Parts: sequence; C-alpha cells; structure tokens
Amino acid sequence: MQPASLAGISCTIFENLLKDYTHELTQTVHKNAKLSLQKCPACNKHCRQYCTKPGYDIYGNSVQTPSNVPYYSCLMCKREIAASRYAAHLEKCKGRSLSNATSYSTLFEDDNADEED
Amino acid sequence: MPGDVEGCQHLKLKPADVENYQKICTQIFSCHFVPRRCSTCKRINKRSIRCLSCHSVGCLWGHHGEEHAMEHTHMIGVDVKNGHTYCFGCQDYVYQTELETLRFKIKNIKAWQSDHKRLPEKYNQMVCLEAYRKYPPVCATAGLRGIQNLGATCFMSVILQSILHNPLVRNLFFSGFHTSTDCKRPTCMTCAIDDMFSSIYNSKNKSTFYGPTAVLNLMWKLSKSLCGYSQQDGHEFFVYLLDQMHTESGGGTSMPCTCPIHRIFSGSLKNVVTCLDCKKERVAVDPLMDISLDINEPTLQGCLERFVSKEKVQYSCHSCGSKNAIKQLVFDKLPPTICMQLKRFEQNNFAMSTKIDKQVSYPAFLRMRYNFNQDDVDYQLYSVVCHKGTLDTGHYIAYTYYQNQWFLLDDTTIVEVKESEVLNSQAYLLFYHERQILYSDEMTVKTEN
Repeated sequence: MQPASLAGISCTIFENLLKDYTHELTQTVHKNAKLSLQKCPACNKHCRQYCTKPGYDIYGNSVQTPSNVPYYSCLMCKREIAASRYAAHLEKCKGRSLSNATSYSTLFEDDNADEED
Repeated sequence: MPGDVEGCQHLKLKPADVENYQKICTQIFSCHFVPRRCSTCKRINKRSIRCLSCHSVGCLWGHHGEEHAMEHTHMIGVDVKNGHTYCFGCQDYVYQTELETLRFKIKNIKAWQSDHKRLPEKYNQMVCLEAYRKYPPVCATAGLRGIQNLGATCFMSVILQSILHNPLVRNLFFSGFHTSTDCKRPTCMTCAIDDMFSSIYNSKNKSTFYGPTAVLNLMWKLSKSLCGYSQQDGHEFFVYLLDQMHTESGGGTSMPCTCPIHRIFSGSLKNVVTCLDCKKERVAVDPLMDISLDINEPTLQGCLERFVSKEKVQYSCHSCGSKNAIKQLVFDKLPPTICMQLKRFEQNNFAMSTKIDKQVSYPAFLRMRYNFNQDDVDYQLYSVVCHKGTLDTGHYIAYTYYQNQWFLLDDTTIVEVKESEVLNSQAYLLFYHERQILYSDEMTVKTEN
C-alpha cells in the first residue's frame, strides 16, 4: 500500500491534507443537520427543522396579513385595539388623559392578559 | 442512518467517561501534546480517534479505531482534532448535550487563557456539570420570536431584538438582575425589558408574537423626545434605552460607570488635542456608548480609520495662545459589546433630511485596537439593523445570529437567511460582541467533590 515513488508520497500527503480540510468543513454542517433531527427536550418537537417555504416563517406560520392581526388591550381605556392601530390609538388616548399616572403593575397585569389572548 | 435517530444507544455516559472526556478536551484545547499515533499501524494520522474508555488511539480513516471498538466494545471515541465524540456503532459523530456543554466551556476557557497568559495555573479546574443539570432544558429556538408592529414601531422591534440576542444582556436578565417584584418604581423600563425576556424566552407557543405594549407605553411616558405616533429613529431609541436602564439600575454620573448596562456597552474615548506650535497635548476622556460613523468610505474599517484620523480644529492654546491645533480620537477602552451607527440620515444646508443609500461592507469578524494601539479586541457580528425605503416611509428589519445560523427578523416574520445576504445588506446599525466571552463565575467555580 505504501507508494514507492516520490510523486506517490506527495499525492498521498496532499490527499490527506485535503481530506482533513474537507472533514473539518463538513463537520459544522453535519452537526447542525444532526441536531435538527433530534427532538427538543423542552418542547418535544423537531424545532430546529426550520420551514423554508416562501410566505412562511421558520415555524410554519404564514406571514401576517391585516386579517389576522392580534388585538391588544389599551392600557388607558381598556378597549381592545388592533395591533397595527395600537400606537395611533394610544396617542389619542394619551392626549386625552395626559395626567393619568399608570403604575407599572397595571402595565404588567395587562401584558399578562395580552399573552392569554 | 444506522442507530436511533433520537440519540446514540451506545453512549452510556458513566462518571468515569465524563471525567475522561474532560481530561481529553483539556489536553486538546490547551495545545498540549495529544497522542495522535495509531496504536495499530503506528502512523500519525490527520484524523485520530482516542478511545473514551481506555487510552488507545486509532485512525478514523484507516479503520483501526473501528477494529479496536469492535474488539473491546469501546464504542465511543473522541476526535483529537476538535473534541467531538464519535460512535463506532453508529459510524457517526454524536453530539450529546452534556458532553457538548463540557467541550464548549473547556474550549472557551482554554482560548481565553491562551490569550491572557498571565493567569495562574490554579484556574485549570474541572468544569462542574451539576450547575447546569439543575435547570430545566431550554428549547433550541428559545428567544426566536417575532415582535408585533403596533403601527410604525418597527424601529423599536429591531432594537429590542438586538438586546434580546446579546449574550451578555440575556444572561444578565436571566440572573435575576432586575425584576418587577423587587423594583419599587411606579414606572420602570427595565422591568418591562425583564418581562419581555421572560415572555419571549419562556414561550413554547411558536405561533404567537410578543406585543411590546408595555415598552411603548413606558417610552412615551418616560421619554419626551421619543413621544408621539411617528416613525422614530432606531439608533435614538437604542441610546434612550441604554440611558434609561442605566438610570433604573442605580447608575450614577461617575466615570467609569459601574452599572451593569454600562459595563456591557460602555467604553471610553480619548480626545487628544495637540497644539501645532508648542506641541502641548490636552487629553479629555469621554464615555463611548456607541460609534457614529460617517459614510465616506466603502468599508467599515475605512470608516473607523477616518473616525480616528487626525483633523485640524480651531483651538486656543493655554500655553502659547496659538490657534492651530490637531485633534485625534483614540479608543481608550473598548466595551464587550459595541454598536456602530452608519450615519445614513443627514441634514443638508437647506435643513432637509436625506438618506444615504451607499453600500458599506462590513466583516463578520472585526479586530479593533485600543489603548494607543497596544491592545486589540476580536469582535464578532451578532446583529445587523437595516433600514429599507425612504426617510419617511421606511421600514426597519434586523438580522440576528443565533445558534450558528443567521435569521431575518421582519416584525412578526422570522426566516432563515445565508450569511452572504447579511453581509451584503445596507446596514444602519451593526452590533458586535467579543468573540470570547468568559464570566467571572467560571473562573472561581468550586468542584463539589
């Protein structure tokens, strides 16, 4: 198996160097691919397998459209406002009650309520 | 693929194996002598697998390691080049969670020690795994969530995403640095940020998004310049957010500030003014929260070199009264996290704001010199904020590096992108952090033996 000529030895050394370099390069991709096959211990799903379809995010949710915009409760007047109009509504609400001092605990409670929606 | 896809059945992970793995990884990443000669053919190989059970070394490509594994039922070996575990039963590399944690931490500690050679040898301690076993498992995509646009609030979302994925800020809030149960303030932005971290990193539902209603309310309440329903500047919100969190975490006005936010983001800059006649120097030290760069060069390094280049200034020398002087900025201390703003929004002579659409290339890894070029820091890009469109109707998006992968965060939509797309974007804010981050607790951890 040992090459007998100098050219053969040089080819063997070069082949080993190239093989080692290729091995190191593919190891990173291989690790990511292999980890994506394992189930996540926290949520018990293959959450590293990202969706790559156009029009969807990595979790397979379709891109948000005006029809499926969530609603958030206004912290001033407690009405449910569409998310895309929340800032505009808050400016009007804030203008009406500029002296209203809202404590953070109120914000915290309403933020928890937002999560349950 | 042979074997179970859920994991390697040959890996039993006895305590002796974990201890052996620590020793092997310590040798590998300390650049000490690691035996690479195959025990069978006595040849030094490029790829050698060292047995985890005994001290035998076998070649991976010549199959002598496999012969040893089958003969003695020693299935698990360690690649002596990078420390990854190889299973001869599965004929594949396996990435067990605890061994990967050990490998990663030993590699980081050894890399940090080799850069700072003054450390004594007492820091060569065993990494304790018990500290990580008592926590529940973390989802591999924890933290990757979209942020809802509440109506022209994308400038806020991109900054919040960059804060969320900064490893130092993340670990700061995970350590219970500031929580609403302990805070006494009626309105506190840091409590809202802490709540945001909890909501996003604890969320298991991948079809919901975070609505930054509390941050928006508090921003309008606490900040006068950012109040009002209009498109604001992302960089302005970033500066405001750091300043607000600095105030709310007990930061004072002394320099250098010791609050946790400034220890992450703040460095110092020396302003050296030299009189051209009597050569007297006047040095002023200013805090460095971020670097605002004019777009006059095609590369980030060129913009930085222009930032620290000498320029003539109008000056009144106290010694000789001369009016000719040279000013130069010098990085005195660089922070663990640095934010660079490429000034794309400028006002011309007619007080009209315009946007500069020039392309500036920036590297994924950046080396910066400081302390009069005596020391340097290696930075790694982890977040990019881009502005698309015109000045009035533009839109902010963010790219974030997460688990060896780049993601595009566009409000509620997160997609996977290639690094080439990130590096060819029209960046507005660039976030870098130190490549090797070592926490002080890892140097003083005590073994529980």
